[in-house]
Amino acid sequence: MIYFDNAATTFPKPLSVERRASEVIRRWGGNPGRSAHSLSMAAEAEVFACRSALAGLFGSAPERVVFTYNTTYALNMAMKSLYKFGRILISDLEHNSVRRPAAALTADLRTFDTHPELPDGDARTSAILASIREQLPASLIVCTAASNVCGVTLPIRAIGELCRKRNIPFIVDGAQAAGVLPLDVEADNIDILCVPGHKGLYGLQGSAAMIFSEHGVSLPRRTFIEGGNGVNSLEVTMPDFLPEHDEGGTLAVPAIAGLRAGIETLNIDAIRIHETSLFRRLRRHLERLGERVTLYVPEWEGSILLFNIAGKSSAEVSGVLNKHGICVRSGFHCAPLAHKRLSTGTDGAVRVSFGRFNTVGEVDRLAEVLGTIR
Amino acid sequence: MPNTSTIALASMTYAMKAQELLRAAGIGSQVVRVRPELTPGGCSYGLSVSRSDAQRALAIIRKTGMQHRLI
Repeated sequence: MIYFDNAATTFPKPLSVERRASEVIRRWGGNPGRSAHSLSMAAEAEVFACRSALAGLFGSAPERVVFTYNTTYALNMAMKSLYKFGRILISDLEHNSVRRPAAALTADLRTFDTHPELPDGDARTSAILASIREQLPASLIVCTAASNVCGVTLPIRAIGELCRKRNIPFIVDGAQAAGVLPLDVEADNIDILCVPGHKGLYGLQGSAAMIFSEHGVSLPRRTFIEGGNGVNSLEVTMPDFLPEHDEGGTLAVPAIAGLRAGIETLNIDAIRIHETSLFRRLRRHLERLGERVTLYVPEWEGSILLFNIAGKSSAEVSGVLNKHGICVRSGFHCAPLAHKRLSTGTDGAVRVSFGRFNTVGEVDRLAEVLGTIR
Repeated sequence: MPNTSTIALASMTYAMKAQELLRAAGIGSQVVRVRPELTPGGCSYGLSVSRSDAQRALAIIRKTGMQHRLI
């Protein structure tokens, strides 16, 4: 099987991830933060080590890392705990994990233009900021760092700077960028960064986090979930400090342990270079197929390549590939806004998303099969 | 009189963070559960340190701004 659906979840995982999670299940199966016995303490040590690893990767501190079960949970928690009233502004490339909770919070939901047709640089950043300014005031801005549909990135630092100047809380969806692009909650002026464990960080499904900057911690927020967490048990309200303010119930310790193991294997620069080289190779292959192939945002390079083949639906193409043992994703990728912005049509498109374990040979095999589709 | 002191912290997370800071300063400590009757909100965790290190440990923790209390 050849796997090119790494934007959905990376596969395979490093062996150390499997080993670490398995070790927790077999040896340290206590409930963290609940007791002082050895197994609970060992589990808590594992959880704290992962908080530290995430904090180190994203410029935060261990106590400002809140574990959740996936990025959608993290985004819902971040948005619904921060939002009070007024307009929410999101980008025109957002996944439903941002769009749907925003729409549930307010009828005054607007999108700003990410200008994916422009090359990355100052002119594009200025155009994006202008689009945001046109739609202010807003009480909350939420956007992705990199599109799950086409890989186009957003100038997070500049948007964050604008938010900070205007006193607008800023939440970033790091679902595709975490582990692939450098992100720093302090330097990038992010209040809350939401990241998955199971994508670019090569951890397990069931692990994700909200990561706060110092400014983000200072923002008044409601609780999103209430329950037991082993702290201040006699009180009826959740603790007023992170991470326990936002963590109720038992954490997914095996997944969290696996996530730390995944983080330990990361070499972001090397991964980016590898994935970009695969991207370029596939793009060259597809360009040789001529006008039958439509490439969306072909000037961008990265981990995701989006295309369609004339006369074939994206589902047909992915179906043919699957028969040849090749996994890609077709359709709208839970991001209809992005597909609309990219004008992919009524059937969505085929997405090839690379991971660090993909090879040149796999790319060539994919191109070979695509070349046979008529 | 016991030869250890307990510094109560807001949660297990803070206890572990404080433990790392103390370790970096050459102060050994052990994460312990603080008896609920000793903390106003109920369940809490803390660090057990030798009495001779207690004041230095408190000074280090105080600098971080973490909620804490010597029990």
